[in-house]
Amino acid sequence: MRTGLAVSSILHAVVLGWGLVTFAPAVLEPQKTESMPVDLVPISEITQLQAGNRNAPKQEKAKQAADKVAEPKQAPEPEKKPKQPEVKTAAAPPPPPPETKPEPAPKKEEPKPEPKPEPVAAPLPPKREPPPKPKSTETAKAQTPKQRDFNPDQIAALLDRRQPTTQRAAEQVSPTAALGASTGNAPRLTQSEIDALRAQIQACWNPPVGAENAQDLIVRLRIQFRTDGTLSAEPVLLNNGASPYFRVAAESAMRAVRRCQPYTLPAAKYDIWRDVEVTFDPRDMFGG
Amino acid sequence: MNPAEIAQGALDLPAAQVSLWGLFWQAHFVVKAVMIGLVIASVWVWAIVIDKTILFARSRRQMDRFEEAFWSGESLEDLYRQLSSRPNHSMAALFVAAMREWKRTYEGGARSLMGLTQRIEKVMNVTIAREVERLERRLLVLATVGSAGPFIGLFGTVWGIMTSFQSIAASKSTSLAVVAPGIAEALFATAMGLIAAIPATIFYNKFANEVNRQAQRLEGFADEFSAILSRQVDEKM
Repeated sequence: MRTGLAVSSILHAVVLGWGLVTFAPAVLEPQKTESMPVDLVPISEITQLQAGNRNAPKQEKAKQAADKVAEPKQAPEPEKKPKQPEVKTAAAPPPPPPETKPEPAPKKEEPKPEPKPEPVAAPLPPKREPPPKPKSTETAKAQTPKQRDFNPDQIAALLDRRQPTTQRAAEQVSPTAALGASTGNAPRLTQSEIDALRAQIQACWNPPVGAENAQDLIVRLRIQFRTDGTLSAEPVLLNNGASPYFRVAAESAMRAVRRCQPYTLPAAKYDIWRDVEVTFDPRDMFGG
Repeated sequence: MNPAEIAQGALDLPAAQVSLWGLFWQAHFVVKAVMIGLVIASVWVWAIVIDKTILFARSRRQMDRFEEAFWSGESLEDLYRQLSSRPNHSMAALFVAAMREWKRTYEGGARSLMGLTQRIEKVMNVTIAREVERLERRLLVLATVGSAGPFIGLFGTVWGIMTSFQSIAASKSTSLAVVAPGIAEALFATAMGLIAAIPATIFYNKFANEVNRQAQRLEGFADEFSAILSRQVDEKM
């Protein structure tokens, strides 16, 4: 026994000593990676619109929308300036618009020396202005002397031509400005308006938490509204689910619909949202 | 937060030693006790293993030699005279015990040889039992270490994991650097339990088998020898 014990002790000592020497783990150097900045842009910024104020001045909205499209550098002019050219255009002879077509570039050079009319036009028209601009800058220095010879009526005509574009820009922008704006003539609710309605309902909705297969608990409700956004009838359940929790989910959805009234919806489209079907999908809730 | 900063923050923590000695030294004293106990158990197991390996090998070799001598036609009296002074292995002990009983009855001038066969068998059974007991002594230690070692190691592991959770609670950080030392020492305890238990189990099975085989061999020899003696007794009568 003694030999066994001695041999065993020596063996262990050797193994442990070897372990002490060799078992030092290699230090793992963290690999340095380039950090990549990532901005999370929630889609709700695009789809969920804020309630609009009908009393708010339209022009400001138009300018904001236009600033995004056109060059932001040029200072937007106050409202009065566009109106002045309008007055002029009334006095100006109608022929100029046809004339402008053959020479689009040179005419734009004209306003450059005069600071005020040019900036007015630049920020507002969203789509039409940019293409001609680069041409104008290229030819600007060479052609300016010749164009100075043009008679000032054509400048007025130019201004006249731009004015309608600014008006069109304002018209284009206003429908998307806010959900509450009653300017829209669209025949049906846009996707973003449906999203806005859904967002209002979801604010009140507590989906059944912890239910099995909660992602399958999709509830479809038929909801009827009055013009003031309140419910004109009890929400009607349109589908059925196999899950034992479906009843709970449906109840919670109906409760949410009842709780959140009145809803803010575009009054002009009342015919469309008088009677709507809304799908309650828990995935939207959990995903969002 | 910048990933590089996070990595930097992790590196700023006191560097936990993950070397073998570091693992042992940082451990809670309970875990230390478990580790020391397991090391001692491992030493003891290997001592028994070495001892038994030598014992069984020698025993087998001596049995072979003895059987060769026994069946070589050599006089049993001579064989007895050679071995009686120091029966150094099981079969010799068996032979000497039987021969002694035989001689005592035979040379004592007993009237009847009737009970002699029974007595010889009884003596040989007792000797076999004693020899088998000698062969399998301490094998229970192997069995115990083999079955309890992993549990003891697991106990150390559980304790180490508790420590690492406490360090999470203390530092309020779930960073890997906070948890890693506790888990490493915990797993080290399990590793030591397994290191002690695996050889113990393997060698216990091997030695149990060996003891069984040698016991059977002894019994076979005892049967044959008692048959020879019984034939002798019958011839004497």
